[in-house]
Amino acid sequence: MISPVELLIVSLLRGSLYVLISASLAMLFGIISVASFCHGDFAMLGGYLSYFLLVSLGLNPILALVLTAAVMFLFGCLIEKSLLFPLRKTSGKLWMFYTFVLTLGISQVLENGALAAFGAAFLGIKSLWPGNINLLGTATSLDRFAILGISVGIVVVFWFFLKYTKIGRAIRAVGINEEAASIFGVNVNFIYTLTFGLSALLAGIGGLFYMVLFTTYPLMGVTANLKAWIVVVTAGLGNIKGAIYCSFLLSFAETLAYTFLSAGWQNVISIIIVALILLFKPTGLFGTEVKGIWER
Amino acid sequence: MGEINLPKLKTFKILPYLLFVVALVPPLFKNEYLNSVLISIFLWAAIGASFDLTAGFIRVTNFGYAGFFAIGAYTSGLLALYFNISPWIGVFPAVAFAAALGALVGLLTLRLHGIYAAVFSWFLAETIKYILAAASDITRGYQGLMNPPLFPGISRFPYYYFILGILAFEIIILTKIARGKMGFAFRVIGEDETAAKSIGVNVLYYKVSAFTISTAFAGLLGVFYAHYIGVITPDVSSLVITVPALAICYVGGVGSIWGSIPSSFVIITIFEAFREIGAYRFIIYGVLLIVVMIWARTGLVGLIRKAAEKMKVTEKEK
Repeated sequence: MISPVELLIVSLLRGSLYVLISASLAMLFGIISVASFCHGDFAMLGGYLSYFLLVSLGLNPILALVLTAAVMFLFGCLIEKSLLFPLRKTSGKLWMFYTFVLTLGISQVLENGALAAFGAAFLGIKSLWPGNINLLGTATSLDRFAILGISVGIVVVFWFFLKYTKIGRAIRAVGINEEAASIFGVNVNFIYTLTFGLSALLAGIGGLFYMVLFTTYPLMGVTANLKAWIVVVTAGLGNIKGAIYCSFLLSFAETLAYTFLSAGWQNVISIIIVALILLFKPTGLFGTEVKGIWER
Repeated sequence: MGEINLPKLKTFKILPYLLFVVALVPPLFKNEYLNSVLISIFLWAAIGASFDLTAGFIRVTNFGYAGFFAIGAYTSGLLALYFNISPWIGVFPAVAFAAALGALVGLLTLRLHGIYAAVFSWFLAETIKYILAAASDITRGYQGLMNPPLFPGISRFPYYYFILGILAFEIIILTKIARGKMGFAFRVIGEDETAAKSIGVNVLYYKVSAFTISTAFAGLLGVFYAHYIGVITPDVSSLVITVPALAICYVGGVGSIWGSIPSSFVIITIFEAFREIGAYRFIIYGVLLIVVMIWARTGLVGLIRKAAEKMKVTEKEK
């Protein structure tokens, strides 16, 4: 029988896997009204990229992480400039409705492209930093704690970036009112590209962690995407802070379901939770700070 | 948004002739392979058209389309297996179940912005998939559920006419709806929900209606699919069904209903031509979706209309 403390620790460690992907999906939604369906696939790409950096090139984990982040950022910017920007120019009010379909197309290309390029094999590594930490009688790998630490660190840095830097403020301004921001001299197109690039960066790092703890494979993005969306809907669409909390909440619920039910049912639990939330509090557990903005 | 117009009546005058020509194909060519390809084309055209009722009218991209499709398929299949109920009778509870679930999901999510319905039905479809896989004692999970055929014998002949009939019936019904008062309400809601509310349209009622009709057709086509293919797995409730449905609908041109017919024709033919790439064929859907969304949002219907207008102009010049 698992003790409550262990339960908390396990779900905390699990939640750190979801937090980057979910928070960045929430950011896409909240700031630039992109309902992304290829977000999980960015995580998949991050997983593959870091696998090749770590295994084929034998790079140091920190260096691999930084390189993955940089490449994923550029990739995100490229996708935004080449595909989302031309769509935005012509879509007007239906922008969000269209992004869902466009990103579904992108996700199909990425998934099947990965399948063709890398094969269907599950790729993974043993550990970033070998070793275990003995905690309450159970040995937990050092990686899990490192990943929790790095994830929380990235979230904090990111939060400060959004809150206190000039560009961060500009990003939030675009999220609140695009037109007003543009009148005050914010380059809206630049913010769109930057936000999309940053979200790809965060998803890529999330994918790296996923690859380390589990494996990466072409359809990994499907699961990652589903979980991220469950978190984002539970938190309230576009609420970044709520998404961070809800990542841990989801992993807590899942850990409970894993412990007390047979595998395969945790997804059923998640959807029941989502259904109840939609029924009683449709704006999500944490409400949507930017409510109405993404409905433009 | 003047980009989507109702199909002109003229287009429908040629339809009976087209139907007649298509109905002559099996006896003329007597080619089982050709029949099977045409059956897929009709089936996917019907799927795309029913998808269009939500995507093109009330602007809800039903990402959980496969869930309702699977409900239809499995209801009929399980009734046949455990209660020995013929699919000709099983189709009624199957369609009723899919429609009821659609109405329920609609009532729950369509009060909110369309994205909630899209995402929630996607969650639901995934959950149905997990349940079907987890309850393998009953559904046989990924070993597959065997379904009795609709018609005796191995010939695809009867299926050909049956699905052609379903497609014609569906297109007629959906076009009637689209042209009527209901279709007008759907369109107004899709264009501007707030405006629709302010002129006294009962938004929730119409949105739920569109969603329910679409899911009822999804259930019906699921039943056909289950008994035509013979073996189904929980994957019928996954994106494997939803992505082609969505792609065929969008490539055809959203909001047109009949656009799915040329689109299904083109896409299935491409797939037959590139059989070898099998596993990666979804890449074609991806590329098509990207191209259509960015450069040709009116889809094939838009291209056909443009071509027709050009022809008219040149005729006048003469």
